[in-house]
Amino acid sequence: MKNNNYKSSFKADISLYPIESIYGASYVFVDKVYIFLEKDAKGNVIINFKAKPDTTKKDLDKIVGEFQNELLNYTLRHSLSKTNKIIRQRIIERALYSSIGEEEDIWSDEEEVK
Amino acid sequence: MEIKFSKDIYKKRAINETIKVFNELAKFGTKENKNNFIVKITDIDKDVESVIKDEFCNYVLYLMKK
Repeated sequence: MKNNNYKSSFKADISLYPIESIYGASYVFVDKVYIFLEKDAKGNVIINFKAKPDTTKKDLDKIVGEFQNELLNYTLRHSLSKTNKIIRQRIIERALYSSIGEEEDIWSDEEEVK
Repeated sequence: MEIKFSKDIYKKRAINETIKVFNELAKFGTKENKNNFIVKITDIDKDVESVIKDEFCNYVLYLMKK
């Protein structure tokens, strides 16, 4: 096992990349690289990467690039989730309301038979 | 060995859970100030000495998502 000291970092503007997206992307990569998060004076998140043993500098650079893509992916999902929250709630409300409506129809039929 | 976790980013719960998991590998002390949770690691198992700090931080981050 060859230890190395390869490191990399980039700054994520918190107004563009919610912290939940950073957690999400980090979750995907913690088995490939060491990640440590810090905040700078402006409130942006600094994402620090450190290569695991037997990882080349080239590998680390590739991982960082893939992380950035994954961060975009999670940010989009987060944004869509927020946008669709109201729609999802309405769908559930409608489904529940519809099932209540069906029971009333059954009682109406019995009364008609009488 | 000391690690400072920003309170704006990391949660105490995740750090505490990680300490429980790593308990057999080292001794952990904790304190906090206005901005950070501070974890002090001592009596580290020789087999993990070179990686424990990084692995600890990764595990805390992993728990942040869960």
